[in-house]
Amino acid sequence: MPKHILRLSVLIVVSLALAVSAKAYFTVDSFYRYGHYRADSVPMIAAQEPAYRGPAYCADCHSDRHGQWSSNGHKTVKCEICHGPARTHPFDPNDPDKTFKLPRPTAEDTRTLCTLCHMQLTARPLRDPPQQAWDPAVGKSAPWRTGISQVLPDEHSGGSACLMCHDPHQPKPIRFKEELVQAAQP
Amino acid sequence: MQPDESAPLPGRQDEQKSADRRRFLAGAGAACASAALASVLGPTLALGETRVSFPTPDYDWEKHNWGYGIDATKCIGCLRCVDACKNENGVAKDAHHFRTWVERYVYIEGEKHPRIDSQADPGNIAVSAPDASRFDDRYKDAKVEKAFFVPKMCNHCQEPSCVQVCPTGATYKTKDGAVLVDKSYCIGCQYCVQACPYGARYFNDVERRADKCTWCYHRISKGMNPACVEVCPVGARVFGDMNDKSSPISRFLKDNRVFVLKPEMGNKPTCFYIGIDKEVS
Ligand code: HEC
Ligand code: HEC
Ligand code: HEC
Ligand code: HEC
Repeated sequence: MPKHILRLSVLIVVSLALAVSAKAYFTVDSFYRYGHYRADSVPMIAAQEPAYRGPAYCADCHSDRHGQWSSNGHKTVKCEICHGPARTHPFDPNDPDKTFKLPRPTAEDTRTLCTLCHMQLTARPLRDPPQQAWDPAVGKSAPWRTGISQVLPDEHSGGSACLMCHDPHQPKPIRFKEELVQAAQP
Repeated sequence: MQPDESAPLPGRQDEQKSADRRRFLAGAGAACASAALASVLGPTLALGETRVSFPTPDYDWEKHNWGYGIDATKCIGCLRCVDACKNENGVAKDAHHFRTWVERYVYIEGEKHPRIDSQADPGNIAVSAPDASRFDDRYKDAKVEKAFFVPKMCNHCQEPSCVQVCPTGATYKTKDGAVLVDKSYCIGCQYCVQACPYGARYFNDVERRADKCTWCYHRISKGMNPACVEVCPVGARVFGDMNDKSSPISRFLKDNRVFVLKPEMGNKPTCFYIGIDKEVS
């Protein structure tokens, strides 16, 4: 073999080897373990703390509220929809002397909160009569109704806060919240 | 043409030096080659060891095959899923950044095509700024023939185009079916945002990274439902393990005839729909 060809081949082999080993050196260990990505990123993503804890979590400390809620019309409306994500409630992770409070919607808030779901709206399915079907919320076949009962907020409540007549944890039958009724009197 | 042997070429002058260099190069070459071999063989050999549960000690992704179902006939458009997703995953609370969103399709008498809006629509922002949390009631006086809401999100495709185009391996499909983003490898080129036929990815301007639905991977790997499924008050969103015949998603697939969005794209989504229409894509 002519010398310059030999040199060239040696040069090519050496550069290739350098390139391959540089790649091996600069690629983190877990890359390619399961595919063309860094396997270590999966446990990192899985380690994030859940913000929503579910109604079962609340039941430990607010058993009365939970009991009332779970046996009434809002049992599919999870606590954290209205109260926000529990995260570490009631503990403040930064300060053990303080509590991390969840928002308690005011009477004024309920006007916007309740109408998110109950305002009459085009495309919103109306409440159907019950039928026997698979209920994903319950995890078995159950009397399942689709849709939601809707009201025209202004006509229905006459401008009063929903909280005046409905208990959010037991929306039916209605009850009157005295201080709100009094405040509504002229 | 023959090279002139007598010409004083550089490197020819000192035979001893040249031999040294050759020996060095040979040695370096061999070292590099063995390093390369080791790097190729290393992971392969490691796989032969007894398998440990991955990605966490309590959760083995080989045992699961997640799927997602959306029943558009049940959706009431309350957007609590969007809100929960944002709280759970720290998505910007404005009208333009979403991991999941809801569209409204309204067919009006005499019109050929449905009117489509989502919470990013100016009319809806106007009634719910700044967090775009409700739909306005713009159609109350219109002659509506048919109307429904369609929740949308990442379809966690079996053939994800976003993964195909990623230049750095920052996005990938896990063994249990989720498509995830490795934030520290993402360079923010937004190629994936362009490639997704469903528009399911968005750009996080604060972190300067692509972001998307993970099916709340941190929740499902702890045995919980994704946040959007957790809060849906009407059961329009269904999630579960397709390996488990009694899971909500297996029941959903068994009891219904399901559609996927844009089947012609060949992405093979693992989000299954019922109750959508021909115009929904
Ligand atoms: C470990 C016990 C514990 C759990 C679990 C718990 N709470 Fe509480 N909660 C408390 C305590 C203690 C307070 C009173 C805190 C205070 O007044 O500072 C409280 C107060 C509240 C309040 C009232 C705040 C106010 O301003 O009056 C709400 C609303 C609330 N919790 C909702 C929830 C919800 C929803 C959950 C479930 C997601 C939950 N809590 C789970 C202990 C708990
Ligand atoms: C539909 C919205 C909604 C849901 C769902 C809901 N809450 Fe409430 N909750 C409210 C509102 C509104 C108030 C304020 C009531 C008041 O001031 O009279 C409140 C008040 C509370 C309070 C503090 C005052 C009190 O009356 O004890 C607690 C504790 C509480 N909720 C716990 C829960 C728990 C636990 C759940 C789930 C099991 C839950 N809530 C579900 C709307 C809701
Ligand atoms: C996240 C959506 C959501 C929110 C917010 C919400 N609800 Fe409901 N509500 C439902 C669903 C779902 C049902 C069950 C279906 C139905 O009865 O229409 C329901 C049922 C009801 C019912 C009928 C209950 C029955 O036993 O038949 C009333 C009354 C009611 N809600 C009032 C309220 C009031 C008042 C508020 C505000 C404090 C509120 N809702 C907030 C979703 C919601
Ligand atoms: C002045 C009292 C009052 C106020 C304020 C009020 N409601 Fe009602 N609401 C009622 C009564 C009475 C019923 C019928 C209860 C029954 O059937 O047992 C009712 C029923 C409902 C129902 C169920 C309708 C059905 O078809 O079953 C919903 C949903 C509802 N209200 C939502 C709201 C919302 C949302 C607000 C706030 C915007 C509100 N209500 C404010 C008195 C009130």
